[in-house]
Amino acid sequence: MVPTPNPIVRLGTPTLLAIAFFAIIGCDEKTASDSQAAVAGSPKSGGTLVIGSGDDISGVNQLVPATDAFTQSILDRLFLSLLDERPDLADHPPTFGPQIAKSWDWSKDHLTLNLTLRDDAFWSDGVPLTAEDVVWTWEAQTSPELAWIQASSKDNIASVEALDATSLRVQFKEKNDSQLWDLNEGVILPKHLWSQLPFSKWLLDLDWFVENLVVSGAYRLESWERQQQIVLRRNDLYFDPGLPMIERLVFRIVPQKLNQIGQLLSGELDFVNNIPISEAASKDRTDSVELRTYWAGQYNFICWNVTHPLFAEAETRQALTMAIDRKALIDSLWFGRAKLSTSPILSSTWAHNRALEPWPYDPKESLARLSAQGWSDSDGDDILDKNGEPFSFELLTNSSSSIRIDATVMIQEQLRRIGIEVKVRSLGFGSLSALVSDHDFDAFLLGWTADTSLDQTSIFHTDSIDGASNFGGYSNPELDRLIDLTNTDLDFDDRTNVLHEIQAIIHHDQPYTFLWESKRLAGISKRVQGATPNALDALYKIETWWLLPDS
Amino acid sequence: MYGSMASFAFRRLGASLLLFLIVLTLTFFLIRLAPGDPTLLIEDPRVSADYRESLKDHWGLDKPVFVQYVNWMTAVVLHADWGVSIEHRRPVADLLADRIPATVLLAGVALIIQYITGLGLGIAAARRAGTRTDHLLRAGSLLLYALPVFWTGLMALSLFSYRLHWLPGGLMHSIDAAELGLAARLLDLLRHLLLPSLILAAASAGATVRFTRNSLLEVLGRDYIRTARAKGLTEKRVIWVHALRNAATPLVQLLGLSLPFLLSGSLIVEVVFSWPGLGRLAWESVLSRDYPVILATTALSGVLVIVGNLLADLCQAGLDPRVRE
Repeated sequence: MVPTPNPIVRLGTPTLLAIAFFAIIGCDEKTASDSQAAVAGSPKSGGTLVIGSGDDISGVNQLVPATDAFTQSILDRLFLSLLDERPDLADHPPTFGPQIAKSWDWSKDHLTLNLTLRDDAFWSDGVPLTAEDVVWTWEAQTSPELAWIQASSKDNIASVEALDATSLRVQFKEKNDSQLWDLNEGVILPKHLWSQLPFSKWLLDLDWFVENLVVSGAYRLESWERQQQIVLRRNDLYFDPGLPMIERLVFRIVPQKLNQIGQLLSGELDFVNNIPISEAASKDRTDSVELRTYWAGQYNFICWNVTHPLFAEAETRQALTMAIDRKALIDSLWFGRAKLSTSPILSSTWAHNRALEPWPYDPKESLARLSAQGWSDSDGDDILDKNGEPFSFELLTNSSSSIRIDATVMIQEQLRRIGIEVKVRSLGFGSLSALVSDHDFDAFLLGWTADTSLDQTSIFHTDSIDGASNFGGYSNPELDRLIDLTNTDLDFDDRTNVLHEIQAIIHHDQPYTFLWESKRLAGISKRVQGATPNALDALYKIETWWLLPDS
Repeated sequence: MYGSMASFAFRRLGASLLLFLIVLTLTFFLIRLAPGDPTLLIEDPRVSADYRESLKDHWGLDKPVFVQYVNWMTAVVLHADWGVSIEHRRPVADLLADRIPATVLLAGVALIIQYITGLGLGIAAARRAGTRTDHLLRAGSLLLYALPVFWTGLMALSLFSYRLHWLPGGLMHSIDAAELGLAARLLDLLRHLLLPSLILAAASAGATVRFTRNSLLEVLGRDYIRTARAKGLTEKRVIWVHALRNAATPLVQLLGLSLPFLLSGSLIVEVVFSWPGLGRLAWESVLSRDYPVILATTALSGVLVIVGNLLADLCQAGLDPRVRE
């Protein structure tokens, strides 16, 4: 039996004590779909929802600087997008609903898209939102002066043209599966106001955008006290007069997660996302808060540096995967809130290859495979060796994740049992990124958030070894060919087959040992109704959430 | 007398400036010894190497470290320009100006609490030396001094905010404070200030109690105190007028040394209590490798250490002419 250290044991003393004091959770735990069914009474308009956040926003202009997830979440409340991306990835690529565009149709060659925009969308100063705003936003997104972080998503767009105030024509260079996704990346910005500042000055004066802010979304920015709170209030010019239901959203900036939880339990906050899994293990109950779980859209893995002699052979990497008891990791670290990962395409996604059998946990077979490659304990020191070199490597992870640190320690013990020495080291994210980007590592344990395009280029393509995210230096020409194929015009079945083949190759070669896909926990006051946090957006459709009156 | 005092002050000031420059230089190079740079903190795998390079170019991080140092030092010394924050994209001077009032308020109130309680309890312990009260105060002050600030902060929040609901669980004011009248707003601020300032003051107060007691006990044993008592002066007058005045020298030094501690202590307290001050800014800037902000907050901290020491030395020199030699 593999030892299963309690994750709480590895937490620092203050954290441990604080957990004992806060004694949260084990509150009612539901999935997002349960909560939809449990909505009580008829929706009521008004009220203030108070949300905890660990960070402040970085600005109100999505294009400068690079936006983090929280800033993006706020901007999605302030600005409309062309289309509404839906989190329906289970059976097909994500679909899109209307937002600024109320309808659209494709040319026969699927290279020209004609969109009709709604005529009842206005900026908060009363100016109509028109096709000119969309064209100008595209120009800003692709401006070399701004170097928007997501600019590559627009590479396939040849032109965006306003035919009249509500008609738009988009010309694509190539037909592929992600045309709508690429077009929809980024919110639409107010040309009539923000074009007054030349692009060359955008990076130099971020406060200008706060002072000259008009919005089109469900909420407007009422106040922003840096490092204190952000207050959003219902935008009366929002195109849907019945929405949003909640009058005011207040985001309180509380850096420490434990304090966010304390404030959630004491009623100061109504919503806290990303509650650590260790907090959910306690058995105390509260009447006012429930936990919602949802799949995080992430997978965690060990990346092997295949340029290192130890990990150059696929057979070795397979043996290593077979020596790691991933189910034990999941059971002891996630308390049932994670599942085994087998591929970079999440199991909840339409293109996941369900035919893949996870590599079994089989230390004997693992050892047999390593022996076949010439590894043995020739000097009796309990560590395998070959040509006088011990099987010893360093496993890195980021120090801000106690679960990952615990996982590395468990893996260290599991591999020790078959004679492999693992030195574990946790680093700050910046230091870890530096080593990983320079390919200066043996192996590291981290996680990726999977984007809905399912494009594997940046992580597994040979072209991405230098300068992108193929940190392990993995190269397989057949895989490169298939990845390139996914970026061409394929029908649904062909695309599915190619993505399945990609996963099969990666599964065989094991450049990554896939560990787990995990859930996220959101703590929500029971007065909040209709909340459906999901991997796409923890505040998904917040304009339809509503509050029960205070008792 | 004034000549020797001025000469002493001039010498100390020169040494302080040199020390300040050394601190800045060391900080500049030390933070760059850590592997990585701010561009590596962007976790999106779609971010290209070219984009990271363009960011480095924009922030001047692509130049040799020594060139960066010369550029930065020139801007600071000649133009008092601390640069632009990489994380916030705002001038560092603006960021500091935003945060300094919150820290000054917190640290100032904490300093007052520290000295009122520290002096009061220290005098009480000295007057009752060897009694149960003295033992209790000494043990209590040692305990306060020994307890880590983050722990006492978390415990205080847990008890007074999350369990008893007496005080807010952090931040500087309530959601709708801006709509309150002046008196209600002040009260709201005080409610938010109470716990963090008490926690920040507690550890220092523990040291002040012990310092005051020991210093006073030493003075109380001297001949002139015995003479004062023999002349029939009241004990209150002996303590407050004769003894405390002479026991003040080490306390003044302690005050000088407390200044930097209040900033470093406020770093932890501000994070625990979500207080929007300089300490939190420093903490965040380290996490995000925001070099200009790290350097500016370090410089400010260095200034406080140097000014604190300088003030302590000058006060001591003012009180004791032998120090000026």
